[in-house]
Amino acid sequence: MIREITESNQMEQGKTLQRGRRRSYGRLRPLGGVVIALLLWEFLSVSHAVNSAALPTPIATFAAILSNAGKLATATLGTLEAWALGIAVATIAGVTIGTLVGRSQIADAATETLVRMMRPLPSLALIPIAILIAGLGLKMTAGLVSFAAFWPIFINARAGVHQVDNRYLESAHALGLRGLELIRRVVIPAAAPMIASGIQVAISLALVVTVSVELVGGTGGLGQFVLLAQQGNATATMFAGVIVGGLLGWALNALYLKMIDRMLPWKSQGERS
Amino acid sequence: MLNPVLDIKNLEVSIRSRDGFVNEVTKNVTLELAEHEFVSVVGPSGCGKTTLLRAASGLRMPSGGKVSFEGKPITDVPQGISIVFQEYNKSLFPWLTIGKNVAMGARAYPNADKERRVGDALEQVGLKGFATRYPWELSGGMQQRAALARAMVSNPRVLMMDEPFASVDALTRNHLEDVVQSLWTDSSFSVLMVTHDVGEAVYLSDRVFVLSARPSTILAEIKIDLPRPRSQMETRKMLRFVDLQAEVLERVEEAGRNSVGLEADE
Repeated sequence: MIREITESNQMEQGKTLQRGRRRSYGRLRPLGGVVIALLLWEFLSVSHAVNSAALPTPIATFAAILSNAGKLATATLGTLEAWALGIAVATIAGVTIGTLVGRSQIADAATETLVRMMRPLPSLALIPIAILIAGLGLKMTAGLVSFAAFWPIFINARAGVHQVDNRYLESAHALGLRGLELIRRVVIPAAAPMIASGIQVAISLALVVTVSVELVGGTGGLGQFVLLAQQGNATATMFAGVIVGGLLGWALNALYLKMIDRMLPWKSQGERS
Repeated sequence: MLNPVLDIKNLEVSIRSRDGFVNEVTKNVTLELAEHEFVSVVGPSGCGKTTLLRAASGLRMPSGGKVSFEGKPITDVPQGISIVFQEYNKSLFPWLTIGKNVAMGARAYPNADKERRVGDALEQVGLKGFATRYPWELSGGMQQRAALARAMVSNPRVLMMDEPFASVDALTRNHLEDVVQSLWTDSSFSVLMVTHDVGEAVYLSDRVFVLSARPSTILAEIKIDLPRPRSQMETRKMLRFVDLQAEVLERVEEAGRNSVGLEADE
């Protein structure tokens, strides 16, 4: 929603600009913050405001990305694997359980306290417990990631299903839809925009957790890449890992939003009417 | 009446509010709907018209009395009753195209048959060529046409409509009234329509029932003996139409006067 509002603002502001320039402005604007951050970074590293051994220049960092391209690609794939596994499990479990709970008044009330407790729980604090239970490895990482990503998806699915407009349900009832067919054809589609934003939150959260577990447990991926670079005092390489992680998060989010726009074309229009 | 298609006997509906207060909405409503009859229910706002329709259709269980459809008491919305709601934008599903929305009403038919039926239904309401559009891409009037098509596609015995044209502008309303009239003329189903628009009730119906204020009972039954086919331009000019409209309006006013201070949301 927020993204759409800014887009339409851009279009309105764009009307006052010349036609040809409007487009390029609209596309470049989101990069403005990146440019400012890069300039600030350059300034901080060149001015020695921060110890230059701890903060390489942007150029040195990008050089490190290029020279470590192969290793970074492997590390990124490793991170992606744990992330995707965790998100997949969390989505299936979150949507299924959230839908069942949201449909039942009793279960909905019974889980209220649990939800309030679990929402602010830092998943990273569970890393030691997870290592104890599952040892070091993909299973542990993906397990912890799915645990962390489950909550925003479950919470949104539960709320979305609970809040489905009664008028949709009544129409569906009048059309003879009952039970699973009602849930599949009406309840879940009606709750889909809310479920989708839960998944969006989970996507970023899951990446943070994946990289953190790798960083703490040394279980491969970008986290371990950063950890090894730090231990080898290769600061620029370390920063290269951090930047690639950031780019990965941005790309996953952008890809997801594109997919949602395709899958839920009514997301914005339906709410307006 | 011999073998009414819908038989509402001594219907009572009470709604229990959250603090346990029991609110009697309708009391002792008796109404029969004959084969291929068009009946409207009018009444002051908040008199429980919608509640009556919900109980008559099986969407809500009455607290007393009985509703029979084709001779059998109903416990749920039976196949053979279709409902058109007032708020088309919350009754059509925005995640489905118009064609798929209408197909939701035709789930009982085999797939090959379904497509043809959906196409026919859309054509009947003047929405041919709109099957692949989404509801939110259409105007309010067109959305309500689609809702009508969805109700008609299952070939119902009774079409129930709850303030079907209250959310569209006057001109669109006239058009939609005529769409309903021609659907009804060309077929054999009966209509039970709830409306607050007295002119609309008189224009379309064979009989008009006036509900009293809450707890509502039937205050009057007025037979509409206007010739058919009716047309917006001709019928509404007739002296008899004007007389009937005045008569119904008078009874509604009467009912409304007794409910001053008792207005409630439906």
